[in-house]
Amino acid sequence: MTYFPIIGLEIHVELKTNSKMFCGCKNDPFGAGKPNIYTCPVCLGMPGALPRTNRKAVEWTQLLGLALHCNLATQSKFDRKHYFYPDLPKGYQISQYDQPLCENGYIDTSVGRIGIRRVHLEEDTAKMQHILVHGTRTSCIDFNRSGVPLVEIVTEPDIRSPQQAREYAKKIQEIVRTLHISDADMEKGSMRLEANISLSTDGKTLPAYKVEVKNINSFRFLEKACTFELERHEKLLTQNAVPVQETRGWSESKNGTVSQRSKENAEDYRYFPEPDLPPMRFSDEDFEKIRAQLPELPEDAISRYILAGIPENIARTVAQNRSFAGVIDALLVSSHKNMVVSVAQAIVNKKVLVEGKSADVVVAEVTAFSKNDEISESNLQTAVHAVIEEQEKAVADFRSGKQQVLGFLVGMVIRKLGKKIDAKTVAEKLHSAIQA
Amino acid sequence: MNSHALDEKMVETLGSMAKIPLTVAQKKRFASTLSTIVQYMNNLRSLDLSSIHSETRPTDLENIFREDVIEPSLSQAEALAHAMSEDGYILAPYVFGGDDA
Amino acid sequence: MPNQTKIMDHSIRDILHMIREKQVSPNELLDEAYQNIHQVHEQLNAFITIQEKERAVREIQKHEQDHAVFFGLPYSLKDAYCTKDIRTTSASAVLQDFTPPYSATVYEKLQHTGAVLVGKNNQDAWGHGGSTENTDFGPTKNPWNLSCIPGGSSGGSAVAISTRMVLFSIGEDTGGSIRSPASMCNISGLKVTYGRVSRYGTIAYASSLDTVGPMAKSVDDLAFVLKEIAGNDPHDLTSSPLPVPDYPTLIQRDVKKMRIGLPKEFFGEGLTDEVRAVVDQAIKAFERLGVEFVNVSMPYVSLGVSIYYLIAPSETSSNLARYDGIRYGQDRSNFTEETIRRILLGTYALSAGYADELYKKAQKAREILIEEYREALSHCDALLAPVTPSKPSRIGELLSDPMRNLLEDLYTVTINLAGVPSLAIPAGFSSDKLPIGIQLIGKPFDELTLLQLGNAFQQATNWHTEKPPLLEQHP
Repeated sequence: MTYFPIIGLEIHVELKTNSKMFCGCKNDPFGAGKPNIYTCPVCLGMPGALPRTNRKAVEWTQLLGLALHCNLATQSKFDRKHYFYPDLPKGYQISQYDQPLCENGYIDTSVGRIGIRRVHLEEDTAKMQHILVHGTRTSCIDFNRSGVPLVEIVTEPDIRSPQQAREYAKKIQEIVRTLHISDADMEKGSMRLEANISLSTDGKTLPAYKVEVKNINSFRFLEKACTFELERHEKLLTQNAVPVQETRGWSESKNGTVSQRSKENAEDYRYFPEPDLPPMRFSDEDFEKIRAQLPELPEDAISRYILAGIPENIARTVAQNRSFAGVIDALLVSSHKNMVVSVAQAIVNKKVLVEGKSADVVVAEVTAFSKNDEISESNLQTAVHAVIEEQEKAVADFRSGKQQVLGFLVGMVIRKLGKKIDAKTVAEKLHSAIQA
Repeated sequence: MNSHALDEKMVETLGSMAKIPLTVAQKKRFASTLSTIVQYMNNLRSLDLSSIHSETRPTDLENIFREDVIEPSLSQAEALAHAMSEDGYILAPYVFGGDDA
Repeated sequence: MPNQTKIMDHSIRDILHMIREKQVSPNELLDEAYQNIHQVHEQLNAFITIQEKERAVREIQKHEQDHAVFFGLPYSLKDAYCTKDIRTTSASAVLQDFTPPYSATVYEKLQHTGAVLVGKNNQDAWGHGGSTENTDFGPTKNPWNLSCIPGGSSGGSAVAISTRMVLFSIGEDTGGSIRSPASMCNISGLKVTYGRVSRYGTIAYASSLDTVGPMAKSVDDLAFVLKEIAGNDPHDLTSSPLPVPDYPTLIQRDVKKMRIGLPKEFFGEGLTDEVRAVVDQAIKAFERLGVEFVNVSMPYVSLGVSIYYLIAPSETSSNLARYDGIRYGQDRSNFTEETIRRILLGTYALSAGYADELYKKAQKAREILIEEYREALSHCDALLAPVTPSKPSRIGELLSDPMRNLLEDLYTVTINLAGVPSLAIPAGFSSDKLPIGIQLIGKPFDELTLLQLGNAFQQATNWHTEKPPLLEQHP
C-alpha cells in the first residue's frame, strides 16, 4: 500500500517593527537583556487598557501577502480569540478570524506549487519557561514578547515530502528577509514552524486525522520531524490503527516527536469581532501604494540572472547575497554588460572579493584576473587537437551522440594548458574541431 | 438555539470554559436562573433577520491606526508590583499541557 | 426647598465666579465637602476610597497659580476609573488591593482642570447591576430612604452628589448605570454618545456599550464637566474625532417650538402609575415652555432586554478573562454570584453551536434598534421616556429576583445599544418621597440639544434643588 504525505505548514513570523502590535512598547524581546522591561498596561492586560493598531504592521503583512501572490482583502478586522493560559494576559489574543488581511496565494517550489490559504496578523504571547522555585515546578513569564506583531502564514495541505516542506520554509524565510520585515531567525524565535501531518491512501482524499507538530526550531528538525511522523503514521496505518489526532513536539534528545496533548476536542475560541478596534477598509489606491514598496523577490532576480546567461546555481547564490547582487545589477545596466557571466562566476567562486568595492572596481579586478590566463589562439588550438588525438574513445562517444562527454574533453584541454580559461570558449573550439 | 434548557451539566461546562470554580449548589442555582433568562430570550429567536447581513459596529469609524513609534514603557518594578516575581520574571503556578514556545 | 444653602448647593457656574471674585476660597469648598463626608458617608457607604484631606489640600496648592478652569472643585470618580497610585477596585474583591500604575484619560483631563479628587465611589462590581448591591464593599444606601437602593451601577457617585459630598462625579453607563442612580437620587446624569468621551483607563464592562459620563446637581453643571472630558483620545481608537461644542456657553436656549417624541412602547404595561404621573407632569412643564410633543412608535424596543443581555454578558465574559490573579489581583474564585451569572451567560452566548443563534443574532438585531432610533429622532429634537418602571425598590428586592432585575433596565438599555445620548434629570417624587426622574434621548453627538432642553426644564422647575432630608439632621 502506498501512502501519500499530506503536509500543511503554519509559519509564524515576528515583524521587526519599532513598537509592538497594539501599544507603543519597544519591540525587542530577544535583545531586551532583562525580563518585563518593555511592558505597559496594554500588553500586560491591565484593567482599563485599550489596544491601538500599529499601521506599519498591517502594511507589512499586506506586503508579504503580495509577495506570496495573495488577494488582499478590501475589508478586514481583528477578532478576539479566547483561551486561558498564563502567557496570554487578556485571556484572549487579538487575532484575525474570518476576514484575514491576505488570502489565496501560492509559492512555487522545485517540486510543485504550494497554495497559501491565508496570511493574517495577530499579537504574540509572552515568553514562558518552567523552572523549579523552592522545589516546586513553576512557570516564569516575561512579557517583553507579549504584544509583538506576529504574522501567521498558513498553507493548504499541498506539501508532499519532508524535503519540499524544508524548501518551502526556507523560501518563506528568504522572502521575509528580502522584504526586510523580519529577521526570521529561528534561534531567536522570530520565526516558528508548525506542521500538520497525515498520510493519505490516494493522495487526493484528506485523511480523517491529522497530527500537529510543534517545537520545531530549525529546518533540519522540520525535515526530520516530518520524516519521523510519516514513518510513525505508516507503521500504525499498516497495522490498521489510526494515528491519534493530537499535538506532538519535536524532541532533540529523543530524535523524534513526543505526544503533548490530545486534540480530540478542538478548543472553542469563542471568536467575536474586537469591539475596541474599528474595522479596516482598503482601496485599490492603498494596494498600489503597498505594491510600489515591493522589492524584487529572490525568484524574480534569479530568473533575470539566468536570462542574462548566468548558470542557475551561480544565479541563486548571487540573488541571496546583497553585495553580489548589487555588483551584478550595476553591471547589467553598464557598458560592461557582456562581462556579467565571468564576473558572476569570479565573485561566487571567491576569486575576487566584493566587499566595499564598487562595480567598476570589481569588473577591473575580474578582467585583470582573467587576463593572467589569456591564452593565445594558437596555443589553444594546439591543446585542443592534442586532446582530440589522445582521447579517441571519448571523441568517438561524442560523435555517436553522447553530448555530456564534451565536458570531460573540455577539462582535459584546460588541464593540458595548465591555465585558467573560459570553459565555454574551449567547448566551442573542441566542438568545431571535432566536427571538422 | 436548542430549546433544551441550560442544565447543570451545561453550567459545569461553562464554568470550566470560563475558569470559574462552581459548587454543586451554585451549578443548580445557575442552571435554574440561566434557563429562565434564556427562555425569555425566545422573543429574539422568532425574529427574521435574513435581510441584515452585517453585524453592528459601535461606531462608523474605520482605519484608525497608531504610527510605529516607540513610547515609554512601565518600569520593571511597576510591571511586577502586584505579582509574585523572581529575578524580574512573573511567576505563575505550573500549567500542564501548554505550548512551550 | 433647600433648608440651608451652602456653598456646595450653588451651581458650578456660580462657584467658579465666586472663587474668581475671591468671595469663596477652594479651601472653604473643600472644608464643606469633607464635613459632609464626615457626617453621612458611613451610613451611606458611597465611597470605597476617600482621599486624605491633607492630600486634597496639597492638590489645591499645586494649582494656586495657574488659573486652572476648575480650580478647587471637589469631585469623585466611580471606582471603575484607573487613578495612578490610588487604589482602584471596580468594587470587586478581585481588585481589592490594586493600585494602577497609570491613569484613565478622564482622570488626567480632570487633574489638568485643577479639580480636586476627593474619593472613589462604590458601585456594582464591574458595572454588573442597577442597584449598587453587587459590591464586595457593602451596599450603598439611598439618602432619601436608607432601606432603598440608590440605583446603579454608579450609585456611589449619585449619592455623593445628592448629599453634597462632591460637586460632580464621573459615572459610567453601559445599560443605564448613570441614568438609573441619577433618577433614584434626584440628581442629573448624562449618558453620552458612544465615543464622545475616551474610555481609556475605564475598567471595561461591555466594550461596545460602555460610556463615560458626568453626574452633578444640575444640567448646567453637567455642561461644564462635559466640555472638559469630551474629545478624541489617541489611546482610545473608538473615541470620536468630532469637535467638542462649548456646552456651558451654548446651553441657554429658548426651547419654544422644539419637538419631543414620546415612544409609545415606553409607556405600556410595566410602567407603574407613580412613574407615569411624574412623566405626565414633566410633559406639562415642557408644554408650558412651548415644546411640542409628537407620538412615535418603536416596536422593536421590546427586544431590548434580550439583545442587551446577550451582548453585554458576552463582552463582559471576554473583558473579565484577564483576571486570573497572576499579574495582579485575586483569582477567579472571588467573583460574586451576579457577576458569575453574567460571565456564564456570556460564555454560553459565544460558544460554538450557540453563537450564531445568540450573540451574532443579537448583534444583527442591534441594527434594527439603531434604525428605529434614527427614524424616531428624525421627527423630533429628542425623545422623552421614564428611566425605570418604578420608584427605587428596597435593598435586597432586585437581587433576589434575577428576571425582575433584568426588566428594570427596560427603558435604558436600548439607548446604549443604539449608541445615542440620554440625559436623566429629576422630575418629581413618589408619595413616600422617593425621587423619580425622566430621560431625554437625543441624536448621536447632539448632547447640546439635550442639555438645552434639560436646562430650560430646570429653570422652570425646582425638583433638582431638593436635598435629601438626611442632610437636615446635620445643619
